[in-house]
Amino acid sequence: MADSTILENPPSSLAPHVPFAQMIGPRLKPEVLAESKVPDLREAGYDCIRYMGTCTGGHIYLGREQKMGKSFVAIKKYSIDDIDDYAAIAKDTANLRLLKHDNILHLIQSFVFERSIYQITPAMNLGSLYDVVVNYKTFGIGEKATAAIVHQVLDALIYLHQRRYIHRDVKSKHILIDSTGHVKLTGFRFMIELNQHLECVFQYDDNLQNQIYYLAPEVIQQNMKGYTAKSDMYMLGITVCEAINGVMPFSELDPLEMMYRKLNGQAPRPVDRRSLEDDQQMGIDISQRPQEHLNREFSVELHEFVSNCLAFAPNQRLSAAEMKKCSWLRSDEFKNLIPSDVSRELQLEYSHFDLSLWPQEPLLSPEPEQKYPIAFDYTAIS
Amino acid sequence: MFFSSVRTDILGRFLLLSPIFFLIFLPFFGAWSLVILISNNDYKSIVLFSGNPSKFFKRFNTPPFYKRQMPLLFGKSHKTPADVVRTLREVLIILDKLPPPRLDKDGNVVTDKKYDKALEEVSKNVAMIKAFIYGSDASEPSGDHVVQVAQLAQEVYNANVLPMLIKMLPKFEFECKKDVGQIFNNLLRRQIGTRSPTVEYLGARPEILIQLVQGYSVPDIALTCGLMLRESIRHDHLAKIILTSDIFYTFFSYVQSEVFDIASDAFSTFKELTTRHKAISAEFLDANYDTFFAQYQNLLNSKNYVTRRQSLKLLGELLLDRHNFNIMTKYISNPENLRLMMELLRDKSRNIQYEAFHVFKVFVANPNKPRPISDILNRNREKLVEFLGEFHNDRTDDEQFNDEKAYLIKQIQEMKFSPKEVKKHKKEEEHPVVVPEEPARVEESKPGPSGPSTSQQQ
Repeated sequence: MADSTILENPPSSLAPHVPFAQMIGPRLKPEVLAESKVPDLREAGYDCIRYMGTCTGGHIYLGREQKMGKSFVAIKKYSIDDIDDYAAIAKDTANLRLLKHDNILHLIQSFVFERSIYQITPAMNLGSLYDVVVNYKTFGIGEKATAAIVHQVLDALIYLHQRRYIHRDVKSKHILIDSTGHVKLTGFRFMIELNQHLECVFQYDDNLQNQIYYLAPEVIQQNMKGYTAKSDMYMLGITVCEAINGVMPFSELDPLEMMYRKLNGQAPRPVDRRSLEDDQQMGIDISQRPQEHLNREFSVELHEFVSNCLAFAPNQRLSAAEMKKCSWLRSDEFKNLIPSDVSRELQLEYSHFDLSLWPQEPLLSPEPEQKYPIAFDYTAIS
Repeated sequence: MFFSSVRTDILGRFLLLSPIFFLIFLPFFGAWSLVILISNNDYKSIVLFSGNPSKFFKRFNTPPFYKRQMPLLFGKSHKTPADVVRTLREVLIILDKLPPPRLDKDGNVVTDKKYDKALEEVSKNVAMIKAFIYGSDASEPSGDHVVQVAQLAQEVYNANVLPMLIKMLPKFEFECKKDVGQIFNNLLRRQIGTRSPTVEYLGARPEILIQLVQGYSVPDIALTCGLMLRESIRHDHLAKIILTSDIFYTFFSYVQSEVFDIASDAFSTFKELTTRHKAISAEFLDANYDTFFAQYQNLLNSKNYVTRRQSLKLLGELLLDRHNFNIMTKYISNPENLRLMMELLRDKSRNIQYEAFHVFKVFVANPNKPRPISDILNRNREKLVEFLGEFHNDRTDDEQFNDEKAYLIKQIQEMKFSPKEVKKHKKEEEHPVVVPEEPARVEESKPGPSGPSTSQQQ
């Protein structure tokens, strides 16, 4: 099985001492940057501070509660006129409301204000796992940090699977981290509930194309066998590879070829000396690989963990609860990892993530009442 | 001395290990069965055992003791559905009598030990009922699952647990609330042949459904109640109960709730109620046309943008349903409604404009427009033609929309030349009170190229 995570153009390294606030700048699309004004939510009880980024169909702002301890919150704004799928956002919100777990993002409030739907959630100051990897960990995060994150994500998945839900959207952008090392799962838009006795579902949502690179082969196959909660484990496997390699598996391929390879049973691996040597034996040139990848060596258990997550046949994958007891997470080095291990192992400069340092951006003035200029005349003819 | 100390040491070890020896040798003495008996509190069996041991042991011939599952020893999963439901009922009665936790002066919740214990018991028993239905994490639903669920359902009806569960839902623990919802929905889906026993049960007790609707006013349980309600109203019989009750009109306030997820959940239930069972809802709307649409007007003018948009969309669906023909004719004969739609056409939001168009088109397409409606359309003819000419021109890929728009423009343009209209205008010309004012007003409000053409035509 060839190693498909080919680092053709390693992303340019970013200087670690650049403050977070400046770093997310260049990643924004120009048209978004142009209107870096924040909505005025004072009436709803929140001070909106600054623009943070986009999410599917919406924008994320940093805010602060006016009362109740003035804690920082993330404000997700979905402009109703821009979104196509109103139902998906309603579902996302309802799902968040019906879940309660330490490793699942807690919904503080959701409301409609002016012409947008807002979701208020606690602010996770490191952003998502994706943000961390893209901004600071060009060659991926360490094994211990990965284990500590996976521990917490698995807890969330066990909770969901126990309640007969399939998350269907486990990806690095949906794994949020804060500076204390707490990891929270989010993105419940596509979560689906298993019905009474069937352990699998047959709904192949068109809207699942956003996360197509993460999808398990049986979901891509769209066959009569359906897919089970095990497809979440596959997505977790891909996410782990992404985090640990610093690059999305298959991302250099186009979707069609990615699907073809997945359906042929090709699975990505964590890139280290061991897997690169395997590649070399198969005649793949590894001389261009970065030293960071060539020099490191992960435990055999990690390789086993990933290959089990990415097993082609769903029934060969372990369930989330079984995974929690797998040899990797139970080994002396990686068992009993607590949230603070995440923050310690990530080795970031946490002073850069102090949310209170960020300046207030100007508030948007309320939208003027614009109507079509021609007024109709309703006076009766009499 | 030395010798004796060693001996006591060996003895001590032997004594420490003795429980293990006891367990190892137990099967050979036959006493192991007594342990099972005692742990199960099965006194009848003890009597049987002491009376005729050989007959008694035949009960245990399969499977051998070492293959026996552990739970039997502890008797945990040995509770029958009847036991669980009975215990649940008892705990619920206790819980009902206990005073709910209050806030003290500092705003802290005063916890009552008894209350917490009762809550815990409720959660435990509800979880057990759920395990009967879905199978627990450890074990799959067992072979006699169908029998067990049937027994469970029967016990639930007999003990009248459902009304109590729904009534006390706000008190329960977080996960327990959802468990109750799942159990409720599962029982609802249960069928015996063509009968749905739970539906019959709920049909005889409308207060349960009413309680569920009222659940929307309690944020903690709103979504769970919504799930249960939507499952219930899939049955026309139960939907009718809610529609005919006054409680239905509370939906008009729930859908405008400040909490987005509650509002949107309430709206989807509201939509289900008014659209799912066509005949029943048409009958309801026909009988309560005035009350319903008076309230509906509030939704269309709601401050909540989402409500406004959703209710406008639903209105379009309601009017275009052929079951609701009478309602549509009533609706499109009221000039106030036309006026509202024309204002919504001008709304700043494109989505609202688009949805309003789908209601507006019905007014125009009506072949027998009442006088006030045709008056308004006539008066605004030029403006409307101009407006519709520019209306959402970028929707090039939506063929149906473009066809409809072209049709509307044609209709509005042709209105004047229809024989009836011409006759009317001629009649009006004979009475010179009315007509001269009309073109003058149009010119006042909007002098333009359209002004002269009207006067020329006249």
